[in-house]
Parts: sequence; C-alpha cells; structure tokens
Amino acid sequence: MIIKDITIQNFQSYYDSQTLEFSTGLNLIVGNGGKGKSKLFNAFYWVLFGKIYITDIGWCTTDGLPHSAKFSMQRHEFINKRALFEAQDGGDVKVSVCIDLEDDKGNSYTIERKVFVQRLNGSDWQTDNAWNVTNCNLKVSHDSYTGTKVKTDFRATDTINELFPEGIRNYIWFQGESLDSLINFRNKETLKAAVKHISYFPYYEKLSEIITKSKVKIEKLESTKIRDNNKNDKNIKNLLSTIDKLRYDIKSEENIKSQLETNISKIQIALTEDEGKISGLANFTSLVDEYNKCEQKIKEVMFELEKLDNFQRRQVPNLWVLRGIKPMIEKCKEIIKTHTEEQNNVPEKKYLDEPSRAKLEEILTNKKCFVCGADISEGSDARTWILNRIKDQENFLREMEDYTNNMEFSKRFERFIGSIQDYPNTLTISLDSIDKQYSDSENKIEKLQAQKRQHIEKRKKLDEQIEEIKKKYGVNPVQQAQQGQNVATTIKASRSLLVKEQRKLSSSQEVLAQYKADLRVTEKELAKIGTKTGTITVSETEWKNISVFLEDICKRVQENARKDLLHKIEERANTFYRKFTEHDNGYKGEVKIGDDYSIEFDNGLNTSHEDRKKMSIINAMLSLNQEAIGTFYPFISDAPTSSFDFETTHKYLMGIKDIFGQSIIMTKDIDVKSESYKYLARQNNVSRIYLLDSELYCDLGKDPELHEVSTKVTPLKF
Amino acid sequence: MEDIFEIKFTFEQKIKDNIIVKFSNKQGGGFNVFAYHWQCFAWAAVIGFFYEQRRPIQSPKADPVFSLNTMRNNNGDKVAQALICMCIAKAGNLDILKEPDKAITLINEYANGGFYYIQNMINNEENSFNDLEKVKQEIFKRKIIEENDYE
Repeated sequence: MIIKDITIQNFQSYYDSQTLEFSTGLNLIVGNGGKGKSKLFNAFYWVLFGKIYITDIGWCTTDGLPHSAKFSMQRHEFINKRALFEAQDGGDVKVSVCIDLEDDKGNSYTIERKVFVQRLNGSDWQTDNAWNVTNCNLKVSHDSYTGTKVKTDFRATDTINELFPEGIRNYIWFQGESLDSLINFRNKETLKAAVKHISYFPYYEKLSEIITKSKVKIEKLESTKIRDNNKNDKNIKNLLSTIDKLRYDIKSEENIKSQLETNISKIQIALTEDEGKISGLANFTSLVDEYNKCEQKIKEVMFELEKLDNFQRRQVPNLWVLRGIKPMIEKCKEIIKTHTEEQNNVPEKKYLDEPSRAKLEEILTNKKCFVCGADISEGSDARTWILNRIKDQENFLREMEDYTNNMEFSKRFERFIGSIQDYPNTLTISLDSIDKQYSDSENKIEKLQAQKRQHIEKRKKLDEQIEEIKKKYGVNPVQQAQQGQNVATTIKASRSLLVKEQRKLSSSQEVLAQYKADLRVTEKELAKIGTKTGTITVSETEWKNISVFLEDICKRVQENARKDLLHKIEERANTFYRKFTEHDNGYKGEVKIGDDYSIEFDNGLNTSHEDRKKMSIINAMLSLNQEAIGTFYPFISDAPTSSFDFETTHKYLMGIKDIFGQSIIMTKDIDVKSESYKYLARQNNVSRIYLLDSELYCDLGKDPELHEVSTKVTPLKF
Repeated sequence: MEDIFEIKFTFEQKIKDNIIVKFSNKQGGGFNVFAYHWQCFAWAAVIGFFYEQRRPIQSPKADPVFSLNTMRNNNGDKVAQALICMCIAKAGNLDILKEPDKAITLINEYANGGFYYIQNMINNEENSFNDLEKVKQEIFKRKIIEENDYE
C-alpha cells in the first residue's frame, strides 16, 4: 500500500487548503519545533481514525472533546485559528483532511473526514461558546468491479479497519513519544504483544487451537459411540468412565497448571523489576551520598549568600548610604571645634574689662599712662594699642550683654552643641569601615557564587547520571533511597510466594503426569479388550488418531516457528542496529532476544543506544511481517528519532529508506544546510522532502498573535 | 528654641510616589532596599549634599511623617547625626542650629536635589538591576573627594 497524497484544510496549524504528495521510498518532512510536523501526523491519524495525539494524554477523538475537566481542550480547538478568526458571524468553516492511497492490488481509495464549524452570532471568536461544531463526517470512495463505490460512516470505518488492522496501527503509525510503551526491555510481554500484533506467528497459534478443540470433540464422539456399542459390557463401561474422568481431570489440571505458570511469570517479572531496583539502589549508594553532599553544599552556600545579602541590606540604609561624606563631617568637626574654643576662651576675655573704659579714655586724654608714665601721644604705637583695646572691650561687653540677655537660650544652645560635638568623631570611625565592609562582603559573594556554580554544575552531571540509572533500573536512587527497605520486604514476600507457587506447579505437574500415565494404562487396557472383542474401534477413532498426530506436529511446528521468528527478528534487528550505529566508535553491543521473548538489557549502553535498539526491533518485525503476509504498509512516524543527535538521525534515515516500501518520517533533527542532508537528499530511495515553516500574517518583526501564524509547506525535493 | 529632632521633614508628593514608595516598604520589613521611607529620604539627602544638589521644594507636598527622632528611634542614629553634621558643614557655622526650622529646610532642599538626581538615574538606567544593586551602584561609584580638596 502507498499513500499518494494528503490534502489538509483548516486543520490545526494548516490554514486554507494544502496538499503534500508522496511516493514510494522515504518521504521526509523536516521542520523545527512548533512548525506543524505533529499536526501533519495528527492529520493522517485523524482522517483515518478521527483522533489526534495529545502529549501526556494520548490519542483522543475530536468528537469527544473536551475529554475531562483536567484537560479541557474544547471541540473547536483543533481547528485552524486563522480560519476561525476570519469567520463572519453565522458563517461556516470547513475542516477536512483527505488522503488518496493505493492498495497492493492497485485499487485506489480516497478517504475524507470533515467537520463544519459555525460561528454563533455576536460572540467573541476566542470564547468556548462561540462555536457550534458538527460531528466528523467520514467518506471512503474506492474502485470496484462495478465502478467506484462510496461508503460513509460505519461502513467507511469498516473499510479503513480492513485496510489498517487495529493491532498493527501503533507500530506503523508511530509516535516517537510512545516508544517505551511499545518495546520495554524490562517487560518481555511488550515484545510478545508486538510479535502477536505484527507477525504471521498468530496464524500458527490459531491453527493449533482449532486442532486441539477438534480433537476434544472427536474424543467425546468416539467415547459416546464405544459406550453405545458396549452397553452390556460393564468392564468396558467402567474403563470408558475412567478415561472420561481422567481426560476431564487432565483438562482441569492443565488449567490449574497454566494459571500457576502465569502467576509464576508475573511474580518473576515483579521480582526482576524489584531486584533491578535494589541492585540499582545498592550500586549507587556512593552516588546518592555524593548527590546529598552536593545538595547540602548548595544549601550551605545559599544560606551564606542569604546571610551576606541580609548583611548588605542592613548596612546600605544604616551606614553605607553615608559613604563619601567624610570631608563634610571633617568640616563640621572644625566648625564645632572653633565654636567650642571660642566658648572656652570667654573667661580669658574678662581681662578686657580691666582697666575700665573710663580709665582708658583718661589715658588717651592725658596722653600719658597713669601706671608707667609712657607717652601716648597721637601716632604712637601705644595709642593704637589702646584704641584696639577699647574696640575689643566693646565687642566683649556687647557679647556679654547678649549672653546675659538670652541666658536661657544660650545655655540650651550650648548644651545642644555639647550634645552633638562628638558626632563627627563617632561618624568618622564608622565611615572609615564602609569600603572594607563592602569589598569584603562582595568578595565573599563572588567566591560563594563561584562555589554555587561549581556545585550546580556537579549536580547537573549527577542528575544526568541519575536519569540514565532511572532508565536502566527503573529507579531513582536519590528519591527512592529511603524506599530500599520497602523494596527489600516486597522482594522477600515475592520470593516466598514464588517458592509456594513453584511447589504447587511441581505438584500439579506430578498430578498431571500421574493422570496421563493412568490414562495411557486405562486406554491400553481398553485397547486389549477391544482387540479381543473388536468393539472399541469406531469411525471417529481414526479421526481422533489423526487429530492427536496433527496436534503434536502443529505444536512442534508452532514452537519451532516461534523460535525461528524470534531469531529472525534478532538477526534483522542487528542488521538495522549496525546501520544505525555505523558512525559510532564506542561500545554498541548488539540486540539479543531470548526464546522467551526477553530482550537482553545492556548496562553499558546509553538511552540513545537503547532507543536505536527498540527502533531496530520494531523495524525488523514490520519488515518481516510485510514479507511474510505480502502486505506492505506505509510506515508513518512523528519524531521517531527525538533522542538522537543529527549524525544518528542521518544514519537512521539512511537505514530506514530501504526497509519499507513507503515511509513518511517527520523530524526536526536535520540541518538542511548540512552536507549530510545534501547526501541524503541525493539518494534514489529518498523520494520527497518537504520543509515546514511558519507563515506569518503580521508585520515583520512583530510577535504574531495566535491567529497570525500557520504552517507553510515548501517542497525541497519532489 | 524648637527641638530640631522633632521637626518633620518635607518632600514633594511626586517624589514620594515615584521614588520613596518604589524603594521602601511602608511599615518596615525585609522585602525592599529600605525598610522605612525615612531611609530613602536619608539616601537622597546624602546624594544632594554630596553632589551639591540643592533644590527648593515644589507643591504639592506629601504629608510629613518622620523626623530626626524617628530615625534615632529606629536604629538610624548615625544617619540622623550625619544629616546634622552635613547641614552644619554646608551652612559654614553653628548659627543655623539656632533656627532649627531653617536647618531642617536646608536638609529638605538638599534631599529634594538628591531625589531629582535619583529620578534622573532611574530614567537613564539602561541595565535593569534589582533595586539593591542600583542603590549599591550609586553608593560605590561616588568619587570620594580627598579631605584637602573639599571646600
């Protein structure tokens, strides 16, 4: 089967109508995050199954939206925002996806799913109640001997189910996010389910089942007829009853045995998981210690940083704001000092009052000192001295008068000055310490920040290691370190239960062996009598013998086929795995699959290797399946390579292009300017390449509104 | 003589709205650079005195709420002392303290000059730091004048 094209109209990020054509080989859709790859994948899935993929939720039908109060995506929210924005009041928007495909017999199919959404009058286009959305309308048209047939609704759904059987969908319509749930190294049931869904092996199981059921019925018929033929032979009747009872007992015991085997298998899976956890926890005690120490150090550094921050926050308003005012404080100090000195000098000035002004004026008048008799005539130095003395005396007396007049005020003022005179000295000491306080605390902050960065870097590396451990052992050693005791208790209980169940199984096997031996003895006894009397052979006897023979052969063939299939899967998976890891120089290991569906888990590998192994196994099964049943499905996958780097993605695509008749891969891990892309694009089996980008309906440089951005498809190879 | 410690400081309403509220908590607390409005006022006053930014206060004025005593009673003793000392230094003598109203007005006017300086700093701020960083940056980029140069 190949998909020839898809036309998407107003669906999610696809505005108006856009068509992508596909061919056989690899069809590649490249685009960065948010450019429309997953929406394209959704369009494929929606047109066929009416569902879209929502992260953390899974596949949801659009008719059933909103699915829950927790996840309240409204019914109109999968419709293109620009189309909704442009709708007039009362106007309709048509949303449709249409694909054309051709089956392996050359029959063409056109599948279209559409909905109409009507804008209710007078409502805001962005509100939940602005839209009336119809249910999906599905139509399938296909070629037939009588011309083109058109089917709708459930008949159309039936046709799609015939084209894409349900069991196989998850593997051929492949969402990268769901890889772990499809193949899980710790749970062999996942591989068993995958083999069941996507291989020819189930046909053997069905055949074996039919033969076994027929055998039981034939045995019953045979027994009834023999009983009828020997109504009067008590001995034969008894033997037949014993045989019937033994057969019934064997069947019942086989059911018990099968139930016990299932229980044992479940306990063993749980034990393996728990032992993995315990061994993970035990192996990583030093890692846990290191992580806890690292966390503790980060806490300590944060505490110190907080202390320093608080210190600075206290110091800024209380002292540091005063930085730089020291010269003003010094000046203030000088002013106060001068004032104080003047005050202290007041008593000394009292001498100015002696001799009195009258005496001084008398000397000037007499031009002669009355004490020493010196000459005080005009122009003499002594006369000038007397004149200055009179002036100083006047000032002093005036001050004294002022002081005396404002005695109260002056005293208070001087007391005030007295109270502030130590301010400058106290402040100077504090001011001198500011720069040191600041530089010391800043240096400490810088050192602590460097330490913090180092510890965070270390924790990041430890987180990466823990993430790896989580993937390998299914346990987070740091978070679950405390749960070790609980797991140990569970393991103890599981082991004890396992011993009990194994004891029951072995006893059941003994009982079964005894029943079978008894049955053989009774049958031989009946045969002996039959040989003598010739009454225990009826027409069904031969049929019974044939069915016993067939059952035996079928079981052996089935078992051989099962092992052979697992070996083939392993072999082919390794071929792919080698291709996908070609450029990798480190240890790569190989895919190893046990006869019991177990996949060997390799501790030495990282997540990317694990994912490549899983992809190899899925691809191996799909390709074997296609070869075996002669039906070729297109492999459509969104982000199958999300854990790969560019180089690994390149190798993956180089490998996958030859595996499937048609593959449609959506990925962001390709640089279209790189040499490896150019090399890939030149390959024959790489038939089409599209680039997805954003089409903006707003001015350049402006951040677009929700309705101003949609997906733009550019063909790079067609 | 009026008690200088009791006279309340005055500042413009727009200064309160644009700067004081931005940098300070109203009732004290540890979430902003300044726990109290008066601490932001003191910062502005120091800036005004330091950069010689004196500016008369325009109306409308904010309701006066704090005084030097408010500072002294809330661990701001040194700040109160510094404001008085700077006031004396700028006045050139102690006589200004004989009229405490005038002394407080002088401090108010220098604080007002400081606030305008801060507003300018905010307007020209290209890097977006948290407020503590802005205040620290202002404080520690002050060019310290040698004592001999100061007159």
